[in-house]
Amino acid sequence: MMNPVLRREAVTTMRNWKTYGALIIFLAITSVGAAFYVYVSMYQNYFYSNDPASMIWLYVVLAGMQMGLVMLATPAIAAGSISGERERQTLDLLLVTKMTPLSIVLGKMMSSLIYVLLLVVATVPVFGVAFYFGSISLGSILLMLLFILFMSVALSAVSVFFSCIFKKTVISIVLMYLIIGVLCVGTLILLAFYSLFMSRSGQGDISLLGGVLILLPNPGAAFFSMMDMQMGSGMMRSLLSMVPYSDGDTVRWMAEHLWMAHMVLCLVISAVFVLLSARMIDPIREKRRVKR
Amino acid sequence: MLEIKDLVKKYGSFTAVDGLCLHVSEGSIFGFVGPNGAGKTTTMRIMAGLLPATSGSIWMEDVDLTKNPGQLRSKIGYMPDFFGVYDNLKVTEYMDFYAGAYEIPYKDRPALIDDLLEIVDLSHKKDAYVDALSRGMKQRLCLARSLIHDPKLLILDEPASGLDPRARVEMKEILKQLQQMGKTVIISSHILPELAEMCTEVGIIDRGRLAAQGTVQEIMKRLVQKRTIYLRPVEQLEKAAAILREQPSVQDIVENALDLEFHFDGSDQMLAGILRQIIDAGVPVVTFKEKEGNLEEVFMQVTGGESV
Repeated sequence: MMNPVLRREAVTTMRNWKTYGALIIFLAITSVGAAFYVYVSMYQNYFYSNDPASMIWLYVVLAGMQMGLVMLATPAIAAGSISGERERQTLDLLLVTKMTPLSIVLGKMMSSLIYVLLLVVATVPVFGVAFYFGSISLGSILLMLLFILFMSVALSAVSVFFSCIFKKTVISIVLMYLIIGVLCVGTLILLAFYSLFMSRSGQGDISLLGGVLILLPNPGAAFFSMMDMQMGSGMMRSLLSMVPYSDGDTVRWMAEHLWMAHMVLCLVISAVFVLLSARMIDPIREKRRVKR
Repeated sequence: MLEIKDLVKKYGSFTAVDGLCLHVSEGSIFGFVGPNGAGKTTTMRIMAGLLPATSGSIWMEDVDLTKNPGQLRSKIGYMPDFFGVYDNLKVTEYMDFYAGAYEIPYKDRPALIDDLLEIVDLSHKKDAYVDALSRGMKQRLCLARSLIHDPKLLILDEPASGLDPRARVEMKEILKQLQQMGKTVIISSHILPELAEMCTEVGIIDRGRLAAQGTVQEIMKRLVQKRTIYLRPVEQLEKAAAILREQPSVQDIVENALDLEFHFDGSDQMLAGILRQIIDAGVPVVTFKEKEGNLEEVFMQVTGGESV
């Protein structure tokens, strides 16, 4: 039997004009971005024609835009899932049914993900431009979409968790954007401080393990690592060559495949936060806690 | 049917429910009355499995529901005092959603939903959006929702609050129908005279404890010391009043233009004797009856005069 929450959310979401508004905005940004890139790359070209060497980077630009939009959209969609039920005074009616807190949370999360997936899938045709001009493989596009989906799963799991904690949806959304900011920019600043500290204290280079641990939760760094792998630009390898080989093969592998390690981390985070959310909305949780 | 034993709910140092013991008979409509903050909603939320009890137990058909939340959810239907509905959802879809949440097979749902909407008189609104329904209709829809898994016990927290008189009458009719269907209903309300009319039993809760329980008549008999008697003669009102003034068991005679009322403190035989005296004196009496006591007065007495 299909999760009732997912079923209902699917119906109400598709009846809401905001869904179509978001879809239009998503498509417009991606299409305008792609058109602008094509225009600029042609303008720079001596013969005013497309240059395959620069068009291959169209894919990177589009993928980057896609990831940025998903990072913005996921909290906006998922952070109101439980607090929205509370605000509407429908959560109690849901909790007295036979649905377990876990199935309620999973239903909420899946409905948020399906919404995000709808936005992502709708923009796939735009990638056709990169596929056509930039000779990027279909496998690469699908892998990139899978990466974005994993990231979206983790973001929606954390968003749903915040929506269980905070009564107001807006607090959960703001907090999620702060966290995304810290993960994308904060970790880079931390890495810079770490490097500065190591060189000032005379200990030399940063350790590879330290660098990987700092950058592992950074979706931007993981995305960079994936694009580097797909483009074969070798930037990651030259960056890593600056760090001494001292922390073993596993750490080295993680550093070279940061995107893959990041996807695993996303799965772990998702599982942890889904379970925490289910615990948060369980009405008899207090009793269980007393028992333990 | 339902037995609550020594139920306690504490929020830090504040005790919301303080050793509440309650018995609800099968097939009854049980009125749960108490002033604001007495612990009615807390007790009902514990019964519905929405709050953990600090201690105590709730037994239904030899099962401790506090330890079996799964059984609790299948045996009890709950309607909260405040609830919302979803936007962009039609009445049948709303019911279908809750049918799914109660694991009712797809094939059984259409007939079940039609039956329930018939009971709450919403069949004509099955294709309407739930957020566009009136408050009374939403209350009835929520009642239909709470019946979707055919629970034996219904817990209705102030179902009549915010309803206009017509919607209240409709709600009352539905509750009678549910009683005829064999459902046991626990209902809380601030509309005390209404509870007296529709409930077979009443429990008065005050400061988390049960202050009185029984049928309305039993509670009245126990708590109302002086009976109020109403007398309406066709004529000679003054003569009847004079006879009453001579009676030692009669006090506080209030004479109106056409009738009179008085407080009586004595046995039924004494009261019959007074009526005989009045008739023997040639006063043509058309009405001589004991005024039904006001549950609100009893309530004020039991709860120490706290207002509702």
